[in-house]
Amino acid sequence: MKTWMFVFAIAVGLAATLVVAASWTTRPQSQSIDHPEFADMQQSGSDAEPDTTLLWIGWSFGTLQIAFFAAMLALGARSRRGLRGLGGPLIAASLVYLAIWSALVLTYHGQLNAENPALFLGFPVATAWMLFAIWPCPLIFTVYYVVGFDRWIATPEDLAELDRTLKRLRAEPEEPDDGIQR
Amino acid sequence: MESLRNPIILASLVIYMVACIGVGLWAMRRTHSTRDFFMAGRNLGVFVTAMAVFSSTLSGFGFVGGPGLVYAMGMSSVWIVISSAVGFAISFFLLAKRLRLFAQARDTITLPDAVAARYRSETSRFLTALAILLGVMGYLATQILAMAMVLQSILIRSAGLSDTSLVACVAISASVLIFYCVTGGIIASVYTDLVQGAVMMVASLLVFATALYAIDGGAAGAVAVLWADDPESIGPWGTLGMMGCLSWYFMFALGGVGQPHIITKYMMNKNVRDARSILPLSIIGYTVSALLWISIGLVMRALVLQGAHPPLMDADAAAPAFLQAYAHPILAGVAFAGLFAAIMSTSDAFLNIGAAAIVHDIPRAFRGRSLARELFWARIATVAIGVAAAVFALYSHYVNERLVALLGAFGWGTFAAALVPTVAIGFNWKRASALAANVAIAVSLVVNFWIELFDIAIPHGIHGGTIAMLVSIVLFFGISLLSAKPQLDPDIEAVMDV
Repeated sequence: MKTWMFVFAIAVGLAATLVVAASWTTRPQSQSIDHPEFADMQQSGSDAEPDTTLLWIGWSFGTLQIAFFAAMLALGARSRRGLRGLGGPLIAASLVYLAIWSALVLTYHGQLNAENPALFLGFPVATAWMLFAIWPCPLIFTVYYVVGFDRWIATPEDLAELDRTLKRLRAEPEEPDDGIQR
Repeated sequence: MESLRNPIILASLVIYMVACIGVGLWAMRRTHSTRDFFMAGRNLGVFVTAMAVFSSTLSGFGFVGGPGLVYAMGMSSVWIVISSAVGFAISFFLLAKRLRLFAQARDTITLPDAVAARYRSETSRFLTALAILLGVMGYLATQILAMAMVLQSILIRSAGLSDTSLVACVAISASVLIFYCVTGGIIASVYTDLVQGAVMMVASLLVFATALYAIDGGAAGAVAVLWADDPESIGPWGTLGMMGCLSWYFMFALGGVGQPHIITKYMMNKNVRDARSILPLSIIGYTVSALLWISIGLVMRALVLQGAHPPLMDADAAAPAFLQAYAHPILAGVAFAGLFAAIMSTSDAFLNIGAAAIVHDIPRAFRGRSLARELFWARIATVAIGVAAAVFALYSHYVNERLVALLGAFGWGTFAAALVPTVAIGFNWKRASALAANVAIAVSLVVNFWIELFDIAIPHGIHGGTIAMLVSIVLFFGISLLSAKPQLDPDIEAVMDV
């Protein structure tokens, strides 16, 4: 299966998930009502009953996003010689990303209606997963880009070949029609 | 020292603005052609490009609107901040190499140039330029207005200046911005970005430390207050809810690839390999600066909830109110300069691509060539766009607020929906057709306008821009697959093979 097919298929999946979410019943006053005391401040609403179905729809949406991001990274790195070995590292990093995302959702599910949540570095654990794990986790893709630029992004051989091709094309006589549709 | 608070803040702003004007004058001597004016001669170093990329990304929305969103909704908008880690990576993987090589192959000086070269279509060039121009007008108007309001809030506290009008503040703010953009073009823009980025980082670090000491118990103390009022506000989704937060995460992570004022800078560095240093530096700059976004918002919400600070009538006042009440006068001066820097660094980039759309891209789409004396007209267009945006900002403030909100919708979400498929996917997928690109751009503009115009409320707080972006991506693939396989020019095909 080609990379663009993954991107297309996951985009359709993301759109379908949004349709499912949008058609799922919105509980009255479940999210974002005006704060009773302070103007321009909002509260999460008085309906404390958690909607676990929506939570799992959200998990699916987040999971598909991670898959989509990975597919887009692969699309950008791909050359006519394929991914040049980047496929494995991309999949590994995406699985770690997915595991952290799942841990966040599971932790949040566990702390629903908790009187006193467990804290990590001053924040409720689910929030800590978001700040201290989901945020930095994708930096591994940056590490791939920096460390593997010459191998995975643009090899010196490919750049030299491009230079030669561009010089050859410039040396050829120009065609009268540039082919651009006006 | 406290009695000198306002003079110090005012002096910081004056020094900052004089520095911007100085950079503009210095850059004017280095601007000899439109290639210099729009592309900085394609000669920027790693550090300058990195600072320009991150400071253009973090606008007034980040420094004013961001803390306001956290104040209003708790942790919800933090998803926008944390999307940057994956967003920058996606943007560089998809476009940093490709755009720089397009520039090398075709001497492209604008994003619509690259789009026209890739799709062999002047219609695609025109639609891209049109989307950019609409976005520029809406964005600049809101930024100039934000700048003027912050300036007014400072001036009215100063002796002898207490009756300064908003019109005067708009005139001062817009004049400084237009001056350095007209004289020095993108060279002035990126070098002021360097100063602005540095100011933003220093200010954010200091404000972050100050915020932790502004409330009893530091971060844990603030969390305890927020939890007692509403546990969800300090949970991972804040008060907006999970689907809303995830729709923001998606749109801001992926949408960065479609921001013309940011990705155009990928064509300006000296060498394609510079990208591997620019990426981490941009992320560091953005992350440090975003600390202000989170810390001020959370601490101000907690301070108001526990009665230690009077309630804010407007959430966007969170950052200015915090700086006035809790920051040391010198820090407040630096931070207000940082706030101006955040707004100006994005505005100058928009002013530059807007001028390019008028004098370079739209004439090329219709006549096959740019205007004669392009550099002269670029400067005239910069003034015209800046003045029009300033007038538009005042009109929206005094007459019709809805109008600027409508064009404001042509911000991040619309650029994302219009340009992610056309640029991010189309520059990496040879099968993508010009028809698909044109339809994706047109449909995304219509969908975003429609959602804003009819005030469509999407359930669970899902962002309209996310829907528009997914619709345009799916349409882009579908139409490309149904179209005949496009013919690529040999040089463009060679670039896409790398």
